Amino acid sequence: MISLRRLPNHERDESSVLFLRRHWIEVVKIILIMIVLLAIPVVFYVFLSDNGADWTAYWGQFGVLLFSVYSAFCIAILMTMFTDYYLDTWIVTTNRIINIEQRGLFSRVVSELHLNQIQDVTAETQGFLPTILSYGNVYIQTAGAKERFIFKMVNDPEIVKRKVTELVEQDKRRHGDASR
Amino acid sequence: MIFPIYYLLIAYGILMAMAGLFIIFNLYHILMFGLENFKTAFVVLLYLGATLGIAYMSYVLITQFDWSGEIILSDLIRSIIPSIL
Repeated sequence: MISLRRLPNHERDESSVLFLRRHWIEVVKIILIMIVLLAIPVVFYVFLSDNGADWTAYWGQFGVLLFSVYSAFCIAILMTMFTDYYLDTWIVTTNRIINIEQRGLFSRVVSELHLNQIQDVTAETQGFLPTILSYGNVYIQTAGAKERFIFKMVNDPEIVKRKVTELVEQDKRRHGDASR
Repeated sequence: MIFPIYYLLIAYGILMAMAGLFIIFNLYHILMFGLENFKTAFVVLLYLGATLGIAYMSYVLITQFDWSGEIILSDLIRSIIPSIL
């Protein structure tokens, strides 16, 4: 597990300031998908029962096995979607930004960027729900090998942008500006 | 075509093992890469709870039936057609 007190390549005098994940609306989407998926066999059952299906004969046994396998795969798929959401994180410390991107189950990208390499920070909120619920993207323009980090669908992007900008200014005063 | 009905249980076991593997991979990822805090512990408990829930529900449903008989494939197909049509 990752500990905020023992980050990978932990530097001296470094402390975590922000720990970000995508907005909880992603979890609501997963829950809605779960409800729809689990409602499908119920609809089939009601439809077939209304049309005279005999569940005491073969189809009772076959149906039970089908339902069980279907539910297990639905749970496995939903767990995978939630794991993907849960493990996508952005950690902003006093010295750097760590971008951890989980892509499905078998692909994970971890990149880090020192604050004094940041050239520009932009917050974007686009759409009805993002405006009402206050979530959006934060774009970090860098001078590094990876030109742009994106904090996707984070809560209060304006506040995140302000905080990152403050940390960048403080770091550049300490270590100089490597963004030019 | 006639075959013992427990053949379905073998196919069922294989499919459930595949689903179980995916669930284990998910648990592994959360334990390995999740943040050390209460939320992660809660997520792990949720995953375990969902897995046990599915296993228990499957057990209760499957033990209702007698799996020692035989199944005639044509009867199986014929029995569902009136419900669909």
